Amino acid sequence: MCDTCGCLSPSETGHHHHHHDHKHTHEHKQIAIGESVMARNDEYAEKNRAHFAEKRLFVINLISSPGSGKTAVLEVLARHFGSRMAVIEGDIQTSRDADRVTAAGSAAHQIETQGACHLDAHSVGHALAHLDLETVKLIIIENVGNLVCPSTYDLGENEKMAILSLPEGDDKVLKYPALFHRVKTLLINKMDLSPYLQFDVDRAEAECRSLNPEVQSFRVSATTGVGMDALFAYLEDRIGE
Amino acid sequence: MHELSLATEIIELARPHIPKGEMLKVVGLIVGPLAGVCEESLRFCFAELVRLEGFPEAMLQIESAPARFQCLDCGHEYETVTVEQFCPACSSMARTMLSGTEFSINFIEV
Ligand SMILES: Nc1nc2c(ncn2[C@@H]2O[C@H](COP(=O)(O)OP(=O)(O)OP(=O)(O)O)[C@@H](O)[C@H]2O)c(=O)[nH]1
Ligand SMILES: [Mg+2]
Ligand SMILES: [Zn+2]
Repeated sequence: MCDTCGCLSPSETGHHHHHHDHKHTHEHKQIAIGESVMARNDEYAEKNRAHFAEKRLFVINLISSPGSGKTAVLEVLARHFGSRMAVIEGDIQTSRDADRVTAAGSAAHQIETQGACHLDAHSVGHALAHLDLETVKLIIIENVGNLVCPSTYDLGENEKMAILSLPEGDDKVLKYPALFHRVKTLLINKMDLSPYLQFDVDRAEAECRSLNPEVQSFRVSATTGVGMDALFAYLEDRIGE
Repeated sequence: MHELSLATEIIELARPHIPKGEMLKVVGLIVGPLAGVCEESLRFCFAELVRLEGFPEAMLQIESAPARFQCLDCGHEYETVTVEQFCPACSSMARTMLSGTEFSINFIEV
């Protein structure tokens, strides 16, 4: 790094067209900004949040890696909540997840992210127009399967919920702290597989609490339904508020 | 991954601050360890994008801010760049985070 102005050398940036002569006085003029990089997304998120509040909706942004069981959990919830729940699906390409939720009894609208690895507040705002919210009290947004990118984007939700499933390993929480710091609820899914896997559930929960002492954890299996009653009760409570 | 969208945001947020006729030379960012940003890929995307946007000289200057925690057992406040570092006074994992998610444009240079 250049000691005078702190700018980086080509090898540090991968930038090959830098003809900066370090022997000369720098004529850079500094302008203070102090703005969050997420500012524009956050503006849309606040609009969504106001809209949700006005319609008395409880909204969850559901985040996990691919295959940890987001849609499987949503199918279980759809069978319980039916028309009281609606789902917004962020899927890179197919409408498979939306179809599964609809078949299980709740309305679903799909946002095709066209390759993007996360949903943003603007696209969620548009998706809302496609849902009939007459009977709906709970909206769950299934984000794109990814533990990193979605965590930075506020969608205007009331809370973020993460799923960590047993086959992923019990060391993931501190590897992806940006997500696990922001979640209000943590689902440890695929508990039915515990006889076959070394996964220290206490450890994962403790590490998640070390990033966020208020996190509530649920040990569930979408396949067998184990632990789902506690999750239903938690969500019924949120909707009732 | 999402670093391309982030690089786009950074340029769009910086653009209105660039005085007429001046070239963007440096964007100074502050990034916390819980911002969820990969510095290396952000630099890569930014370097590609500024070339297309007509600011071929523009560079990122990233200041990595540490995370600040307060221990819930002994009250000690500590800074760390890795979240795997627990309380240095009593080694308790229980803590609240005071800061660490910062992701902002601190300044630009033209
Ligand atoms: N054994 C077991 N398998 C499960 C459980 N939950 C989900 N699965 C299986 O895990 C696989 C992935 O589940 P999905 O619900 O599609 O996962 P997802 O998180 O929605 O995946 P993406 O949308 O692609 O990111 C499927 O084969 C499910 O049947 C569970 O509790 N136990
Ligand atoms: Mg899915
Ligand atoms: Zn301590």
